[in-house]
Amino acid sequence: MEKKNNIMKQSRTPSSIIVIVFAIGLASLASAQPPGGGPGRGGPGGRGPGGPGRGSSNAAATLEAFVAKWLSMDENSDGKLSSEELIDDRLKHLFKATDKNSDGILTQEEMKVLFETTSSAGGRGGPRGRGGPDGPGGPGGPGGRGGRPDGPPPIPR
Amino acid sequence: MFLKNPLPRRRMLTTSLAFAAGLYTTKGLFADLLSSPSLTEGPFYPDHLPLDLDNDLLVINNSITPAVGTITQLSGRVLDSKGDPIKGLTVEIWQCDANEVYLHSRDSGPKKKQQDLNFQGFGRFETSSKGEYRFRTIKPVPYPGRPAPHIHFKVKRGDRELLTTQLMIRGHEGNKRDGIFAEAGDAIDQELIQADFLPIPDSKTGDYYAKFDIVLGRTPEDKH
Repeated sequence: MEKKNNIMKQSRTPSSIIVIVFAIGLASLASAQPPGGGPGRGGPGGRGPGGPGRGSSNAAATLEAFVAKWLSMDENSDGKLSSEELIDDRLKHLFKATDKNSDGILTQEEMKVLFETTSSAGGRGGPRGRGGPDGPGGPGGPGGRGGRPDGPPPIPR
Repeated sequence: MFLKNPLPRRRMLTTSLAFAAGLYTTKGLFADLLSSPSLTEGPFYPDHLPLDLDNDLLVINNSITPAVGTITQLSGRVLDSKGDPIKGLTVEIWQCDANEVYLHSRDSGPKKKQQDLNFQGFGRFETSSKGEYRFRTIKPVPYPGRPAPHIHFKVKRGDRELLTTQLMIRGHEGNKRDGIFAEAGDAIDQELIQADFLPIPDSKTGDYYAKFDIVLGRTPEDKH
């Protein structure tokens, strides 16, 4: 009996493995489909006008990343950036332009305003389009504006 | 007397340790400079380098006819992320001439008639001990499909390429319509690829100047 049981157990194991593998396969298929479908669709959407290859090098254009760049110089960690803390001379001009009330301090609100105005200015269409989890619709437009303009010859990436 | 001394010493040690810890947790003091964005090389890195590779792009060898365009003294430094100069790097620039022709057979071929044959189109310079480079070239002009006037840059150590990027004119109206400019990233990234092109005071020939510092990101094998 014990042997039989063992045999039974043994013979049950492979089939249960098959069932489990099958189930996992189904589950992964099911779970893979939505994301797979999403990006799949999103890709062509963004690709239309500009090309998803674009902007990949600096695609992390989020408000958080933008603010974090400024605050990487925030020496006293008060969440603002003063002109004294600005150690990068290359950003002096932008600092001035962003400091709307000219108090020598960049608040996160001012950083946000800059981010939003420059984003809507058309610049970063590319990266937004790529981000495109929202699919082909909305982001498709900005993606196009960011699109490669280098008309004549294709610029190798 | 001996008993009193150890305590202050210990305090001093603690204080100095705390100070040191404070320094290391203070972001600003050890903040890295932001790396210059990497941008596409484009299709026109010269396929045949000119015989004259110096940093004066306005005059080829001993020619007496200078290139057409607004003379620009372009200089800057190459720095590491801590702001220290990097010497001995090769900085290369290339750009189209005032008639929108690159020193590349695929561009100059079809545009033979409009090419400014007196423009060198490409130059090299080795950074000094202060990380400095300088070129004499023309103020860049727009190129068909590229509304932002630009100068291509490549920074190398020997033959190894460390950065490929482009310099654009700060505030030029074409920048906003330029795809490569947009590709640089957010407003900070875009700022890092721009420089003011300004008239040199008292220049009788109406020359311009531009200063463009480049910061290289830190990669393990690129430490100097």
